[in-house]
Amino acid sequence: MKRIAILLLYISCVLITPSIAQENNAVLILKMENYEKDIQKTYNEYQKVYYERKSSKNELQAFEDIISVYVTQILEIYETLQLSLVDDITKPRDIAARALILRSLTFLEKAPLNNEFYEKACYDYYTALEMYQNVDEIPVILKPLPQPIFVGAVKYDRLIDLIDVKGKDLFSFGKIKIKLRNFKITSNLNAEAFVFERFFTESKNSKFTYLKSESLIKHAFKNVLYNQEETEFFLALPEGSYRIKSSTKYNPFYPSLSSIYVRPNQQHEYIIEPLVDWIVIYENPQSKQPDVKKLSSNASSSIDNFDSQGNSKDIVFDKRRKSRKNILFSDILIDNIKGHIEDINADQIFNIRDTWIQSKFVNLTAEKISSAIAAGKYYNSWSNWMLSMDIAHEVTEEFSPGTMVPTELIRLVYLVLKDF
Amino acid sequence: MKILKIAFICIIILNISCVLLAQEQKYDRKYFERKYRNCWKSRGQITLLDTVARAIEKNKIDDFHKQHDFIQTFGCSYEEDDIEQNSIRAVYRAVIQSIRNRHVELRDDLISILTQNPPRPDNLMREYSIYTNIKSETEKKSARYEIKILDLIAVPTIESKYSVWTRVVTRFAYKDDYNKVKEIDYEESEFIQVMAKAQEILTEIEHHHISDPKKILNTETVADVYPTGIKDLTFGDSMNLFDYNRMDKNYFGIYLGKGIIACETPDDGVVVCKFGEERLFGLLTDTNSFRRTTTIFKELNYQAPEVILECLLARFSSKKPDYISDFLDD
Repeated sequence: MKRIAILLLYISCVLITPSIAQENNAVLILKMENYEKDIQKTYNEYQKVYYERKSSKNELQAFEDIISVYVTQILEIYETLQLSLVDDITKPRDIAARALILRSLTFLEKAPLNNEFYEKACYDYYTALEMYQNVDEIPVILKPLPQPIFVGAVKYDRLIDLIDVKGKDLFSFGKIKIKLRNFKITSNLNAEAFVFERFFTESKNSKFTYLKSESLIKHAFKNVLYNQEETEFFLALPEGSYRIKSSTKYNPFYPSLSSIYVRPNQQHEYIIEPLVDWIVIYENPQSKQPDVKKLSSNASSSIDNFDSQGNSKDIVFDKRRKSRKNILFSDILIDNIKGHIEDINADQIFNIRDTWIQSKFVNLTAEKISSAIAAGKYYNSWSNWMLSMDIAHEVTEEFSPGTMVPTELIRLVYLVLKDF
Repeated sequence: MKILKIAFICIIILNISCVLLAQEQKYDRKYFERKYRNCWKSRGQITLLDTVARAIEKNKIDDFHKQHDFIQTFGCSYEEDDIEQNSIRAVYRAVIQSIRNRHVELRDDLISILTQNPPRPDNLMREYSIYTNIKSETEKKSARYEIKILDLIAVPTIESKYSVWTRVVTRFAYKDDYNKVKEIDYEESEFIQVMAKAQEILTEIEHHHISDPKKILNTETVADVYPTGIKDLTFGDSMNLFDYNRMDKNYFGIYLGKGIIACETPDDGVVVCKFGEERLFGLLTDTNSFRRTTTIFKELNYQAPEVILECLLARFSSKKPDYISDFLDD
């Protein structure tokens, strides 16, 4: 009898525990949603205070602190949910990323008064984007918001549209992911003596700061020298050239070994290793020669059938005739785009159901993708989603100026890029 | 008193100028081209390769050890910035050479044994005993293996201040085991041959030639291994770089270590650069094209001397176009 009772208790525990856990998770997600609403409200209030009441620094600081408290709470819950291996992390991740981006936008409001806030905003923005690394899912900035955000009289349904208006300065920064490896405790390096400095920048970008970088670099070096393990971290740096030098060691060749080059709105991976009695910093190459054969086989139809109207084949082709390879490449792109139009909800992209419009649209999109690849943007964009957004933006600007970039167009470009 | 004052002022001026110079850290390419004119001779020291080659020639195995079934092998190391670590590596290489010569395999974790009781040039830890596996057609038998370090010498060379070479004799503890083993090779150090090959490749690259290294590495043959990323690359792996304006155009590159490659370029001939700097020449690395046509460098864990890599980078710095303006112009 006793055994049966224990067995029943065990079975009930097995059945009840997951349901309790699920309930707890639901409560946590609900909490996150509430915090997010509070952040959004505070962000709106912050704008009012900033623009309408010409408030003091202390008041603004109070609002920033409140938002930061909510963001910390959200990130803590997100971490808990991640650790408890929730089945679907999409919703909590979206909330966490949105919270970070809203704080980033808050910092950007204040940035013209205090340049350091551009950098702060950028770290939040990159942390949000980092959550979507190696995930096939569309990032939150491109998704519709649960509640629209009003800025003045304008209503924004996606974060990217708000960033386009308010956050253009973020695109002057680049993200540098750095991995330190092969360092040993015997390495003759004094991390405390490291100096991180910028040695080239466009004058328009000189207002942006990089104050956090040096301490992050020193911290990473200390960690790797004591623990002898690989360490990874990222820096948000304004466009330009940087180097690590030592305030105690002198060798004029060192700067060349420890230079970092930052291109705007791109992500680069660098590796740092010891070399003789100094360090060498080099890029982790990401580029791959496009596989023309594979792309050709993926393409769904022949290019010759495409231009049935005769004169719509113009732009891309005339420009590309200079190089036989480029013609082929654009042709393949055109075929690929046509193939993927069936995979998306094409009705949401302008009027591309019309054959003539579609041919124009496909040609233009192919040209934009082709030039992004030729310019090297493709290999260093922080993700294909972001690059898709940029390309879609360019296409929209030419095809239908002044309108919002359709999400389905972003998805279409993403699918084409994924084939590479 | 006056002299003291003048001397004091001079010292202060000297100090200030040194500090200013250190802060400035000006990068003069021509200066580096002159300073690093010959990477293998710039320091007035000889190479470890020459040192060990001389030692091999000079130290033939003595009759006593020969009569007691010992074979003699050599090992060397320069990769670590510590004499003890290099001693461990050198002895490991010498023992592994003897294991290869006898066609047996290692049973113990030799590196751990050596790390627990490190051989040092200045201590008395000179003898070790490990277990090996003798493989026959039907069975695998363990056999005790004796190791005696006859020489373990730290010597500053071009490659490193902490270079170490060693002379080791080894035998089976029991005659029975000795008799079971197939015929023995008397190769004294394959690592020396690998070092010689690598030195030839590096010297050719230093002189802006890449066709001979291609031959040495058999780059025309089908690859044995295809490294999947930068962490798998070792010295001698080859790759293609493509022109991002003309994607059908490929250029050849060889990985040298520490993110440094030697590659052909459209307008500047052969250059040595860090990964990322290939963009300065209008090129991008095709990470799908990494291939290993010669596995010997990986098998013997060869790593190019860091001073030579640094020297090559410095020597080729004058070939690089001005930084950033080209670099940023996407």
